[in-house]
Amino acid sequence: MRLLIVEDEPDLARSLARALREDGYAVDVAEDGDEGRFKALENDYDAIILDWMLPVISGLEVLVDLRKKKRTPVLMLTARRAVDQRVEGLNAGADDYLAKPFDLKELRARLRAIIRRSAGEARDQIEIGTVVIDTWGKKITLAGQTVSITAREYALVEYLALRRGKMISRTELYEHLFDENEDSLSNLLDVRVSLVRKKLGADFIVTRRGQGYCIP
Amino acid sequence: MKWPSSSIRTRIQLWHGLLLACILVALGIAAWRLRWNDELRRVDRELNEALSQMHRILGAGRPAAMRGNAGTPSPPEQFTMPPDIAAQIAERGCYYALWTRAGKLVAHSSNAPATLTMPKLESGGTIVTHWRNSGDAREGYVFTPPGECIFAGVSVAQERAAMVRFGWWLVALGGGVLGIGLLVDAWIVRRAIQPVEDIIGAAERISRGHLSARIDSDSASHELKRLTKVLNETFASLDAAFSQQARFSGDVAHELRTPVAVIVTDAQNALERERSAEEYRETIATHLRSAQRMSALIESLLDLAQIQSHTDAAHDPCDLGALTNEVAESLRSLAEQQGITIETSLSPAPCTGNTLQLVQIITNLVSNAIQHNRSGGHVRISSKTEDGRAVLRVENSGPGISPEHLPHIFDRFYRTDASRNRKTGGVGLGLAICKAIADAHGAELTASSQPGASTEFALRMPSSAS
Repeated sequence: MRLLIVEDEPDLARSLARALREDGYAVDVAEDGDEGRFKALENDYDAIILDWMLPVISGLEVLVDLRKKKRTPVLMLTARRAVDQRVEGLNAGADDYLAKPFDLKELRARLRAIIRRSAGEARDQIEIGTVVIDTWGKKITLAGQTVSITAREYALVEYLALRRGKMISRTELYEHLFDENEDSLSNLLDVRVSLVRKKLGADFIVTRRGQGYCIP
Repeated sequence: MKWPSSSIRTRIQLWHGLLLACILVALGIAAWRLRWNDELRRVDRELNEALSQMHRILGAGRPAAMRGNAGTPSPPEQFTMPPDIAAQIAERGCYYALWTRAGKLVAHSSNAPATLTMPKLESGGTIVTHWRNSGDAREGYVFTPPGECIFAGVSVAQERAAMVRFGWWLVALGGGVLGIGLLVDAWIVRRAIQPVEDIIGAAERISRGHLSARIDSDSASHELKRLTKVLNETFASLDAAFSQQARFSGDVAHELRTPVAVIVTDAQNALERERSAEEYRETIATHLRSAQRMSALIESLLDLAQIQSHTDAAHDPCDLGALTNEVAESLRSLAEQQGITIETSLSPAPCTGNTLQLVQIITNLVSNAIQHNRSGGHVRISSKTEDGRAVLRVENSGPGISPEHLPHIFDRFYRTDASRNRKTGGVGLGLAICKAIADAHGAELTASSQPGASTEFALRMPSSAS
């Protein structure tokens, strides 16, 4: 899962990025509205965390411009609590809304919820054969046994599981699972896929040469 | 004096009632006296009739020689009342008596009171009828020139009883009029007081927190219309002050939320797992920066509150030029670090003001000019006296302020896009503090800008003569 954080307070952006990277997300950061709008339109993010008050152009303007082209889920952050503003944000196409200061746990839950909704999956658990993926706890069990899995491996499984049956290209996986600072020419993805196969079974992820990966 | 009720309505009604009662009592007394005097005059006429009849008879019985000579009185030792005259007198209900000069009762009617005594001689010579009241009787008497006393009286017990009835009738009538008067008065007073009640109602609604409540000024009478207008204006400015205060509190909360969000997010994330010493150091440094930002905000808020609540801070004569020179020198190294040159052209500009506050305003203006500048730019500071007023100008080569932001830059927490970036570090109160200081000094603080080229702030102190 690849996220964009648009936040002008550098300390907040940095600590949010660190927390979400530890959850297995690939995270890009933009410091002002203009940069945020550019990145949001350029890349296919799985979700965007967008601050309302931004230099150059406001978060609301970014959202309005984004909605003309993309359905990327957006979680608005603001220091204001006025109901009018919340309504305005949601009307402009925000998927959810969180007031500062927020609880990190709540932010994660809301983020997962908007990502799941956009993938058309409204449940906390995805069952594939004997494999159960708990999107809430970010855990995977195989035949009732918890599988030890890293956050980045989990992200790969969740991304494919949410799009079960669809062939996902390597490019798309790179775009969604790695941030802008990671090299897409490396074999990091192949390594990750083979580690998942070792843990969940060789047939769990199917490879089709030249097309990509799929959970059947 | 302690009133049973402090309500204006009650007081006005009490006064009106008192006044009406006094008028009614005075009228009643006058009416009663008039009627009684009428009665007495009627009685007196009848007595006079009897007296003159007796006087004529007395004169007829006297020798002719004596009639012409008043000086040598010869009182009759005997006098007989002719029966027809006596009957006439008795018919009127009167009684009579006649005394000789020596005081001897020579004739009296049978119905005369037994205790009747001769009145004291009051005036000799002229014939004057004297009147007196004796118990229930009205009596009149005349001394003839020779010295006899002709006396007639009548009982007025019936008349007195009638007057008592009349008195009660007056009391009843007066009470009725007073009662009706008070009712009518209550209605009039209530109508007259109604606008005051409206004002009280509105004031009560406002005191309960409905700050937008106003008095309906259409129903008020002319005098109260002005009061209503003044009160409505007062309420409106109170309302505005309160909502401004509420907005300000909201802004403060908003400004505090971001650093708090940083601390909460960063701390929660740091505590999620074991971290390296380097990571902990970074977390603590982040928290310190947030705490410092909150501290700076609090300091600025306190400054602002102090300037606004202590407008009576000591004002001394000082030189705006010299103060500016001190500030410019202390900020020169900071400017140089950012590649900005400070150019000064400072002439003495005497004025009156609070030195500490003036230093603060100059510092804020100059550091703003350094911060919002292009690298390699300049800050020009000048001071001089214009039309008897000390004037300070701070001009920079910064990006300028676009016209739509210019009217708002002195508002608290107002940030233009260019200055909103957290990297510049401000809390959004610097110019608001400058404005508050200028206001406290009665000075003018204005800003003008050519977007993309320069911005100039000008502080014009009031004329030192005033």
